[in-house]
Amino acid sequence: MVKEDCASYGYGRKKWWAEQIGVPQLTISHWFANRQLPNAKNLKSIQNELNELHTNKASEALREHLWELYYQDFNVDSYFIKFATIEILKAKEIDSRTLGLLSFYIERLGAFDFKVPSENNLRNKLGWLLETAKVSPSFEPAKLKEPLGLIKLSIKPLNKDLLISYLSKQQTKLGRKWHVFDCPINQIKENLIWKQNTDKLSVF
Amino acid sequence: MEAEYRQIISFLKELDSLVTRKYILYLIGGGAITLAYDHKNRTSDLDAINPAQELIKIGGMQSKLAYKYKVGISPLFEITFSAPSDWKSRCKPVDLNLKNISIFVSDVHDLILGKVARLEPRDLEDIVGLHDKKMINVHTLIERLNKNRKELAASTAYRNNAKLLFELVIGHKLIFEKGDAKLSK
Repeated sequence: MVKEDCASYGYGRKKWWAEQIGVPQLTISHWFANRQLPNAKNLKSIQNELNELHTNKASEALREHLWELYYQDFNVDSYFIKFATIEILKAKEIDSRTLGLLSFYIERLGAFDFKVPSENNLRNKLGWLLETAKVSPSFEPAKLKEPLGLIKLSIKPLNKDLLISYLSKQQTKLGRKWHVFDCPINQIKENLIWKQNTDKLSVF
Repeated sequence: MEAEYRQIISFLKELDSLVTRKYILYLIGGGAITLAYDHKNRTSDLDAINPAQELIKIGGMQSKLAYKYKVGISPLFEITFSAPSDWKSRCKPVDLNLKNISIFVSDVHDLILGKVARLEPRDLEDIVGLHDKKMINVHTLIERLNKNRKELAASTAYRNNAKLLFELVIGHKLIFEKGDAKLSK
């Protein structure tokens, strides 16, 4: 599956896999040529990465769908938003405008009875999102060793401390409460337009 | 076709059909990125430098047209665009087969410099998108940055944001020597 992924992405993907798994790029080439086999630790890393890619792809598809519903003036109901919120939040990073759109819908469609996620990262992201939508979550933030990345900044900075310093300065009060590196989304929400066309039902 | 890109095209086509004379529209910011450089870029407004009053009246953010397409023109003064003063000469036309409105988008490097003044996370998201699509030429970016004398001289924050941008996204350390930006060896 790694080989297929490299073939579909093209140039540079092998290097990316090598970085994710923590092996030299040449090792990946050896695996593809069956000159070497990945060990158990490598296999676990590969599995984790594939799961993450799958989750991110699913999340991205839902994000696209949500924006289509928004622009096409379809009625979006709370059941769909509840499902979409959880699936979108499972992604490692989400663009700030989609976070704004989710918050916008949650706020307008009313408070929901979200099941408290068992996974701490998801729990904190959801808690943050609900509070941005002026909904009081029924749960408290989970304690995390370090803040979660939330917004979509898939960069490999020269200096990781510099990135953390930047993200810390951008963090809002809610971000600090929920241990996520967030950013203000109020202005994003203010630019969104609420229209629910009663003739158009969400095709979900 | 990506949703935002489609909405912007539809909006501009209808705007074009409603105006009563010919206009030039200079776009910068996220809207310019979505229209000309990265159709997947998300944006809700079209930042335009000094657009004509009729364009704002019919297509501004509070207009019926903006309500219909959920995209609208957001007028900005040229002084707020933190790019070199010759930015217009480097704009590229966007051909949408319109009858009345000629659309020009800022050069991608000037677009980036325009975001350096603020450099909020959504600005970084836009720039990262351009970087991922390999649209940024580092040497051109430095060249344009050095032409941006007004911003470099006036604002320590702008210089610091430029350094931050280079280290976080471009992948090079930027230094300033005698007022000129260059890559650190």
